[in-house]
Amino acid sequence: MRRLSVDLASGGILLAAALLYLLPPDRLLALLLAAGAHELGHLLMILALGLRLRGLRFDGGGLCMEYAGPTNVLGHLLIAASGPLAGTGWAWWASALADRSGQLWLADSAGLSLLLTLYNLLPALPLDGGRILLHLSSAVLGDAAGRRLTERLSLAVGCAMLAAGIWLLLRGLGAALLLGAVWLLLCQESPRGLVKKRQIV
Amino acid sequence: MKRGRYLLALLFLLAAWGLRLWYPQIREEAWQLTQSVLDRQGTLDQLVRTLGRELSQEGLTETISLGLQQTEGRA
Repeated sequence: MRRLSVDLASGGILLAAALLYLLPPDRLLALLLAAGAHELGHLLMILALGLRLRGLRFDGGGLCMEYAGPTNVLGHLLIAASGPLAGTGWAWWASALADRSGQLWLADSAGLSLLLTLYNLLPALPLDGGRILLHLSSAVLGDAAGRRLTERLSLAVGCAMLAAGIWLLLRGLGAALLLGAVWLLLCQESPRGLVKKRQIV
Repeated sequence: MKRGRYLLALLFLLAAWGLRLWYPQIREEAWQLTQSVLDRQGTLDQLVRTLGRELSQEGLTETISLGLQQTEGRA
């Protein structure tokens, strides 16, 4: 049996160091728990479907899991959707806990988790929403048409976010959305490669 | 090769932690600067807090629409 391959890219190292340096401790913990819940959701679904985790890659775009084993479209969809579902579950639980305990960092973690979940559900690759769209459209329209649709919609979503980000920047609200849009456009992978190697979340 | 990459990651993380401990003032200023560039009026910060606080009381759809209204109001 092949061993789990763990790949640590330079972008991932820089991102981790920048977050560790910049973020206040409570924000760092809130972010780690929110991101951890999301990734744990993917991992648990992969294992629940009897598949094998083949590789982990941490780069500037975040954590990427590669899995192996026989599964169908529904399996791929469940794996892609399990991250956002776990993120929503953590957000709700952390919010309820913050309500009872009055801990502000738990409310922050809940808010971050919900925001990350909504962002992740955008129908654009490499986000989970884009992967869900790719699997669904490929199943309904066929591989080539599904790929084209996902590719075009990903670009359209990225451009719309870029325009909204520029608008917010000009209104003096900061560059957060613009940064999110640039990240999304830079990280867009070709669906051709993804169709050959579907088993990535 | 991989071991070198892990060592590099460890060095970067230790350097980040060390700089954070030894020069807290510079870190604070860097954080303020990052916030002023990314979230000039604190809208995102406020949105995160509102979403986190309201979710368990208002439910998912109400919370999202509340967050959207709040962001639209600021924009």
